[in-house]
Amino acid sequence: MNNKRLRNNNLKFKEKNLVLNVFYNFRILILIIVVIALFSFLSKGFFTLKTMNSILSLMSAYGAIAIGQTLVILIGGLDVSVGSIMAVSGLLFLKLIPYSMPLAIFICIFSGVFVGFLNGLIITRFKVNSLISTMGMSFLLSGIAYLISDSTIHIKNNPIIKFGNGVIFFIPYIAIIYVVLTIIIQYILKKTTLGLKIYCVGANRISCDFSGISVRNLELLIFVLSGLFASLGSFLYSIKLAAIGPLTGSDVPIFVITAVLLGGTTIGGGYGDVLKTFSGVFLITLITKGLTLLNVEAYFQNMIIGIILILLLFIGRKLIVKGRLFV
Amino acid sequence: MKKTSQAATYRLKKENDILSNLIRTYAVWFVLLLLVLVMSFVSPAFFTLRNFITVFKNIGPLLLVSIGLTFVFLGGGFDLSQGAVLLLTSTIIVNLNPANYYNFVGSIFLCLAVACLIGLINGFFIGIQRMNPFITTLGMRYILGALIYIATSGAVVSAAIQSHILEALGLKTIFKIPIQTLIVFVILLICWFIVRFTVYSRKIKIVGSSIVVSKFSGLQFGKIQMSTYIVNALLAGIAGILVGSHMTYVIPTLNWNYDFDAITACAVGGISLSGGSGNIMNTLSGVLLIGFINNSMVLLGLQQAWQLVFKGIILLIAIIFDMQIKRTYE
Repeated sequence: MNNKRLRNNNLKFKEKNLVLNVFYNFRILILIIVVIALFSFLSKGFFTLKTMNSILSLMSAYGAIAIGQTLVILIGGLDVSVGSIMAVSGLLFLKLIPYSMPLAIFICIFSGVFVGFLNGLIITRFKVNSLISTMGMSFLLSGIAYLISDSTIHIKNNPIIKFGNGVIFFIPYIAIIYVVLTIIIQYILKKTTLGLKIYCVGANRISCDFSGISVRNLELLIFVLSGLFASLGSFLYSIKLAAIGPLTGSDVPIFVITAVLLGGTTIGGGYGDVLKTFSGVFLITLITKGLTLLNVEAYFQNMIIGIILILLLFIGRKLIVKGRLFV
Repeated sequence: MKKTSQAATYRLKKENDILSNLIRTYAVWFVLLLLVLVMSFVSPAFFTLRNFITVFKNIGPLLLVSIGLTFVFLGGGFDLSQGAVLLLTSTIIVNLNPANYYNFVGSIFLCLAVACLIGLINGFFIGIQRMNPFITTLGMRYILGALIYIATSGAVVSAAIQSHILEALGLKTIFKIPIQTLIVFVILLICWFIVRFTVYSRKIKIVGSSIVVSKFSGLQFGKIQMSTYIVNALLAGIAGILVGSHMTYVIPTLNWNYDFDAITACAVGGISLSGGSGNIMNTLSGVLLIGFINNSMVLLGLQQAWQLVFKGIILLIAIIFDMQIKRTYE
């Protein structure tokens, strides 16, 4: 009986298709290549250095926020307050620039860290669901954003704006910052004990508690990091566009969560990394930029992203159920 | 001697149990009562029949959406597409602008059929194909956004000549009570009855608390979960009809945050987000709390910014308070 089952398992193992598996694991990369080929074919202005340059600088601000969101999703939570953190710290940054540049940068980063710390305290010390408490926090912060300024703040002729729009070898500085951040976090996730702990907490919280990991402090750290990356994203956004308003970050949470999920990180935690998120953000930005060049409305861009999201999940699910993939 | 002390501790424990159950069940109602008491002293316009009718009318659509979400949460699911369903059906009813009774009934059936179809698609992917509810409904939200854009072409749509039937549904009252509120109340009662007394709700709760258990006890968990999504979309569709008939115009960028508000209401009321526990009265308490908070802000004449700040603070306090009480009495 036991032997028979073993043999059956072996048979199933042989049926699994290696080519399909490779295709499935590199699905986002393949999609990116297909999308680039398609748009270069459809519009003349797409595959140029200028467009690629603008895509890189467009993706870096929201991408930095997506790094923090990836970490939160890896431990099985959700952070919806990133959008309003972005608005608040960006507004503080642009308000304080006339007085002193270092102070402005410090306050911008510190406000994000502080809000992340508050989020983490509420979630870990009172054992509240992270989605709900960050939603409450986002109401609070969007109110504060209106109190700081009820209209869009602009700045002009500042060296930091030059830095934000500067390029080196056709690569924007802010894109370099984003890539470096991604590499650092990827290294931490894959090569250090901290990363291993993050994956463990996402996979099984209770066993982590019993094996001596301080789950509460780790979660607190992750929410602080999420706040930090939200304010970093806000910093990159404001030095690129030189303008920020109280409503700026309202679509960010949905965008960021979409990018993380499109990359392949699973909600509920334990599987995924920052490189996947990078490819997700890159794919979404490619699609939106390409469709904008073709004069397609924003709603249809979102629809195409939604269809890709559902289709990828559906195909993966089908293949896993049929036993064609190594899981 | 020992026996009596044991009996005494037992009795104490039992009394404590009853008390704890009472506090656990009615924690949010206490907060609500406190809010109403304080507000009645602070603002003279608060404790009047007119104000209460206004509050109940304003929370109607949110209540329907939250009740639908309660079904989904009980079945262990999650939904982000309700705001889009609501906006879609309100767009349809305002666009059709029915002039006579045949058209009116037809357009309502059309709205409900569209809502049902969306729920069916969501439920098919999530319940039968076992896909992740979060990703599926997020994708559905984007797709419906495009449909709404096609229907409105991105601009404000208004019913140019208001049909009297739509106006009656939106604004008429019976004995000072708006028709909308009556409809919402009837639906609330039906849903309360279903969740409290029927076998169907037990099945949903079993599926929500554990798929494995439901599978081994012979339930068709996929179909049951699918049915919760259909109920959810249907209620969101009805809410959309109410919103459309009340406002008589549709702004394609407004009303998108109904689903987030509904999630907040359910969580504050005490519905478990991971599925399996809760009832309609919990949802009602959460929705009432949010409605009364909004109302008292307006009555106190606060700025929009301060309203948001206080709403956030009160919600955070309510969530933490609720969690603390549950933990101390568990």
